Amino acid sequence: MMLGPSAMSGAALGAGLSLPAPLRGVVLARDCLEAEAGWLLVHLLKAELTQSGNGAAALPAGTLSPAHRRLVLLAAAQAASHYAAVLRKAGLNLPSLVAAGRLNLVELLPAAAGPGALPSLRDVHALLAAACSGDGGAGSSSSICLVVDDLTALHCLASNAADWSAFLHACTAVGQAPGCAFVGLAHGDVPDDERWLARLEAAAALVLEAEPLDCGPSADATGCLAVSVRDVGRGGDGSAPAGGAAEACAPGMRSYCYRLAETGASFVEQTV
Amino acid sequence: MELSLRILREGRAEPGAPAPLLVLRHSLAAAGGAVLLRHALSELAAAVASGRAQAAALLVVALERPAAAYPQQVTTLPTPSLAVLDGFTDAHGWGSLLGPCGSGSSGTDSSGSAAPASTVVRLPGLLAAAGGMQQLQTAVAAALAGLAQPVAVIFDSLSPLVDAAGAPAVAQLLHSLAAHPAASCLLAGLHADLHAAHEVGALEALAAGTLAATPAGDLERRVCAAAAGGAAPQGRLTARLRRRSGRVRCEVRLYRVTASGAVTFMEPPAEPAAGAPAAAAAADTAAAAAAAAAAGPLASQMAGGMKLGLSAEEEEARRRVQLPFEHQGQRDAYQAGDWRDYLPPEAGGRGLPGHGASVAAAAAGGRLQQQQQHQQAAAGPATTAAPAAAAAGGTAARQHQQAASLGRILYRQEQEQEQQQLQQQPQQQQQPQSQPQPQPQSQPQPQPQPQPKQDLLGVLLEAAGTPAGAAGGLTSELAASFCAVFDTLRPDQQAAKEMRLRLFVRRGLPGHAAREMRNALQRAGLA
Repeated sequence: MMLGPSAMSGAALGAGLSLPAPLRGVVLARDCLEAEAGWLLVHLLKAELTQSGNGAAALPAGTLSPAHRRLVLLAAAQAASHYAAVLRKAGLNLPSLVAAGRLNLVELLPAAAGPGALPSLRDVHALLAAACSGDGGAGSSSSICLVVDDLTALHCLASNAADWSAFLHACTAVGQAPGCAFVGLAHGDVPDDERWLARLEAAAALVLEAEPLDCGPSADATGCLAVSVRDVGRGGDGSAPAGGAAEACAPGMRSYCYRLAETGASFVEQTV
Repeated sequence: MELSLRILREGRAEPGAPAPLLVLRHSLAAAGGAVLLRHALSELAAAVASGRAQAAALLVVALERPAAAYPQQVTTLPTPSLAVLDGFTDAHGWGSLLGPCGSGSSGTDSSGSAAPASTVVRLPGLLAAAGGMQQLQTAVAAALAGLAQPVAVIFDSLSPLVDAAGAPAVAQLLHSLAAHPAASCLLAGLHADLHAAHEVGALEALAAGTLAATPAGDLERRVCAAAAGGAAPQGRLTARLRRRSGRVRCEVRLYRVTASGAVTFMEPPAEPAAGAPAAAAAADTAAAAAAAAAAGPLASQMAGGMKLGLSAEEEEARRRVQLPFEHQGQRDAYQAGDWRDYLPPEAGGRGLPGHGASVAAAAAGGRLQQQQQHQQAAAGPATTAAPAAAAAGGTAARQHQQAASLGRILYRQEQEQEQQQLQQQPQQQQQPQSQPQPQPQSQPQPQPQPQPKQDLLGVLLEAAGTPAGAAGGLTSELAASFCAVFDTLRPDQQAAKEMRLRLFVRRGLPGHAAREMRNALQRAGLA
């Protein structure tokens, strides 16, 4: 699978933030109570959905473009109306994306109609498998970008540690499939979740951690985002990213200050 | 890294020896651990393909990455020389979210023409099944039998197995594989942060070598970046390898992983010479002192600013200063626990007045004070030399006097306590002494010397007759010898010595009294 040069640019991900584009492998977004990263998930969603760009027309026939990579969003902490509202601000229409098969939203909250109605992880796994397989129609591909919001809420559905390990492994396997990605949001300040979070971080190729500023949020900066590239992402054919995203894909850690606004986030890289 | 790969290439030392195991430790803090394992796999595959390794084939057990990734990395291998056991795709038996198309075909298959023909054996439910380890062991044995032997076995990660079955089971698996006649060498990755230290240690104990990936230090990054023109290393790889001879060799390399996945190694910055910092500091001090000397006397004293060291003159002056009560052969008295035995009389102690420093300083201070007094009495008040001289040498004397006054205060306090105790028990002192009794009555105060001596001798002889005294080394001969020395002491020394001995005897410490007397005899040269 070859990706066009425009898709390699990290500019679509937000001014100043340099991330591997498109996202590959397992991406862990970790936040805490003082610095929530729900906005980051929306930020990545917007980047994924708007990354069709101008390069799609220049791609050789038979190759896949990021526009054809289906996005599966598992909403366990927010309702669909929330994503509809935030994506509308970015100029994206959620219903039309769903209708076009570009986005598949798996919503767990309406399923909880009453006490005892919470689905089990097995049920969630089945829902995700159905969403990832799609309808098999024209234009669909086997490349999936699975976004889970959020893993800490899903962990509550686990009846035992074995089930949770199996579910997490299934999501991780999606991320490590050729051309696929798995983005999971988790809260890093829950002591009971440290064990599986550490294993997920070990399997992650990219870790995004939102941290509060020492002095607290200010007018210029809301928080700090630590970007840690742990592994070199590779495409389905084993090709490595090239062009402007090469530096963003090199293992290492970079730190950014971010400022949240109504229309999105802006970033300023911190040089140590 | 080259030394580590050599161990893998060389394989078994002899047919009956176990296959060497190399463990690559990842950590969450160090980036690129998985890349290092892939690099080692690629190097080993190249060595196998070129015939530079003992192994003739590769067996990869995929537990952390998809099995499809590994044949693409070993494109240099001829066929059939690669087998992959896929324990990752459906490790818990829940099925893949991508369906059968995304997870690959079931059972055994061969990859496409882009990669060399290899055998991929799927092991669904490996981590969830109760007999997962046995299933894995069976699959490995079957794979080893189907490949050209000997075979290099690579585990991309042992952490899923440790989580599922525990470190002992994994150690048993590795041990059995190392003993397998078809295995040439073993290479395994392990996330050290995810497991207890004893589990990691148990697995490393089986290994012939350990590679630990840790983050590079900030100084190392800067130095290497400056030397390499901007390419800073990302991690530090420490190799501890046990050679066939039994020696353990340690090797440290810094590594850098590029965006393309290529790994480059670099030497860590050289350690500075042992004397280099001291020489550099001395040179800096000399230069600062020279510059300050040119600036003026005050600047030369400050030696150019915040000087934490001493100049040569200051060192010499410091060396010549004699501390008032430094150790000068009084170790025995010091260890007895009573500081009064160690300190000289000038400080309120009961030690010999043999301290050169204290005597010299006190004498100098005393002489200067006498000179000052004489000059003030004879020549009048205006004398500039005496105060100046006293200022020069009287500082030490004042210090001695201060210490001596404090010592005297404490000595006086204890003396008063002892006298009170003596007054409370007068009969115990007088009963065993029949002969000396009239002497103290006839001469109570003006001649204290014969009376205390007799009393003291009686006390010591009485104590020497007890079993405790005999056990403590207190004998009548020792008491008699001590009395001979006792008469040669000054009155203040006699009083002090007597009080101590009475105190030891009264408190049931005849051994201490015996040691006190022996010390006195040694000082007098009679021991």
